[in-house]
Amino acid sequence: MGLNRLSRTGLAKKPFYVKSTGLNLWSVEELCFFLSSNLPLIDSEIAGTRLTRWLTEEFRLTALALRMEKAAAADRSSLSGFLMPLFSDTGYFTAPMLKKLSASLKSLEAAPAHVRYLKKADALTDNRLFGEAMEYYRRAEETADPGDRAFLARTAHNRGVAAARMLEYDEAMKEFRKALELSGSREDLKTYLTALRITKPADKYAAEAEEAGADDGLIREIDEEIFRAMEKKFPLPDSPAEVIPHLREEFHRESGT
Amino acid sequence: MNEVRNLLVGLDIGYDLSRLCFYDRETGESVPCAVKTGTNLYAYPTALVRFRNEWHIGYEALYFAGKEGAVRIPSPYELQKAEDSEESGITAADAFAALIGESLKMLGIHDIFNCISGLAVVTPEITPVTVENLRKAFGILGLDSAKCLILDEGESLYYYGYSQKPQVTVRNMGLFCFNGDEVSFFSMTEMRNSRPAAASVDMKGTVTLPGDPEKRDEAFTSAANRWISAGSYSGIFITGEGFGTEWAVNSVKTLSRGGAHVFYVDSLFAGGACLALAERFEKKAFNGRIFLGKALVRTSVGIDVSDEGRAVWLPLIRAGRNWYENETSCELILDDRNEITFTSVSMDGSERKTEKLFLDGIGDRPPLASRVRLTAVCSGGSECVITVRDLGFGEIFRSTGKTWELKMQL
Repeated sequence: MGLNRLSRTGLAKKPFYVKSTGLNLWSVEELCFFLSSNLPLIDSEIAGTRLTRWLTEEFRLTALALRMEKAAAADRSSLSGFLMPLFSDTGYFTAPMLKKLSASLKSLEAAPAHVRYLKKADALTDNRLFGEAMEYYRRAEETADPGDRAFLARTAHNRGVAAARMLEYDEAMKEFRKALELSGSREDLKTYLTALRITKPADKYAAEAEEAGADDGLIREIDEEIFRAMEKKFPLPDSPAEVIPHLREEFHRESGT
Repeated sequence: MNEVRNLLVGLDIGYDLSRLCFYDRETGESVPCAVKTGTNLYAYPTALVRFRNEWHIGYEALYFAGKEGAVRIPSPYELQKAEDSEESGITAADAFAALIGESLKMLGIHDIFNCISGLAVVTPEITPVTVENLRKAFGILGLDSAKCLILDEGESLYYYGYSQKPQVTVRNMGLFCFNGDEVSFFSMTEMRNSRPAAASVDMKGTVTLPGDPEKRDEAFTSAANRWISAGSYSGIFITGEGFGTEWAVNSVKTLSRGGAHVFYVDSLFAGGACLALAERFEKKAFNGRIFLGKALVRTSVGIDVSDEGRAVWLPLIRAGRNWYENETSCELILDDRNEITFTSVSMDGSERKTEKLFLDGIGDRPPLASRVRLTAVCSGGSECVITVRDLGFGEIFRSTGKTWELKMQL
């Protein structure tokens, strides 16, 4: 069990706005959490002088801000050079976490464009920004080697997940099918059949499962997972009228419209 | 007076009489403030009236109550009992504020509140209610609470005594406190073999003296002999109303037998109060000495945290501080479990125990994504109350608004 962190810097009077996610960050701890959870989303809009100015004005972390700016001036392309002083000085992360973060940042910097696009798309999906995620899935697909079936299958699968979360099930099914055709893997078959099971009539599902060569074991596995997922209770709103404006706002945010 | 700025002021608000002193940095002594300029009248009644929209205290209050028909307001100690407050419509905090405010005007300085850098109030009873009302009074007057101290008479004696010259403090010190015909003796002793050296004040006895001067002297001599012979004293103080050199002929000789330095100090408690301010805010010469008063907390309570990457033990309640001066507030970022473990350690380190506070209902959040505010206060000398409030994590995880409380015995 780790130790609770003593917060020395408190809350900012003015937040740091992250345009890509529409999120306001109010503390150094929130900043560290957001950045470490969303490394692929970090771009020049986030990691720049606007950030160092915020750290100086809101928390008087002048020395830290100077170190970050100096690192950026020395190598504009190095995210790890810019961010690691922030991660290490604040005491938010333990030493093992810092080591892992540093490795992840360097790996991301060294990755080819199509991999970076896929990671960014996945991060946008995690943040429920599906509209923008779709754009980056498209870029990942276009810049990848057409012979890299494993990568293209993964991209299709993840794009399908994003589509499903947007309730665009037909689009999702198309992508899952595509992933299955590219990889032929049991996992992609399971994903495709699970989506079919949920969205299509029983006879269509049975026919497709048979055609795809799914065995009884896989069929049973899919049914059990669906059952377990349905067992989870979801909180219901007290009043639908209260929920609808929120849902509308979320939809526009997630679809990028 | 020498001081006109950055005043350190001590005020003794007794049940019946009050006294005011200020600290003279040139002499290093407390200076009593006369009720009337040019007189030796330092004590004034703890009396309060509101007449024609103005507050009056002391002898003025008695005048307006007696001659002008003004209604005398009960003392703040009486108002602290609920029924008195409801009757008069004035709270104890209001009464304390009026007493303090009008007393400070006796210093004769324009814009007194901006000239004060420290105020210490001595009260005969330190209870949670009295402390709360005095703090409210400081707020009403616009005084910075960081610059205000609250002391009981024992602690005031401690600061007064140990601010004296070394020949007075080399052995025990004693105090005879007169209240009319009644006199009580307090002995202040120091355990020099402990680190820090611990001083304590104990009441040794009370006697009622007869009115006849000769018999009074005889009775006081007998009582003083009995009390002083039990220890070795280098300094003896006498204070209060009821002592007089005209009758205490033999008793004073008795007191100084054995080489003790004897002093009559009219405003001893108010003087001790402003010496406390001088010591705590400026001189800090009492290093290595601590006062073991009734209000002293003898157990520390804290938590293990990571502070800027280093594992430290963060004290929330500190042993060696008075309970009413023991309050801490901080914000934590929870690691990977929704619980906080508190450790209490006795002053001598011999007893140690832990208690956990489970933050039920805080929600399912990943590690390092919950901010909580933790406040620890002492509700009296034997218990502390720890409150934890969920602050969420900005817009990433909204606060549940939940609070959790833990009471720990000290």
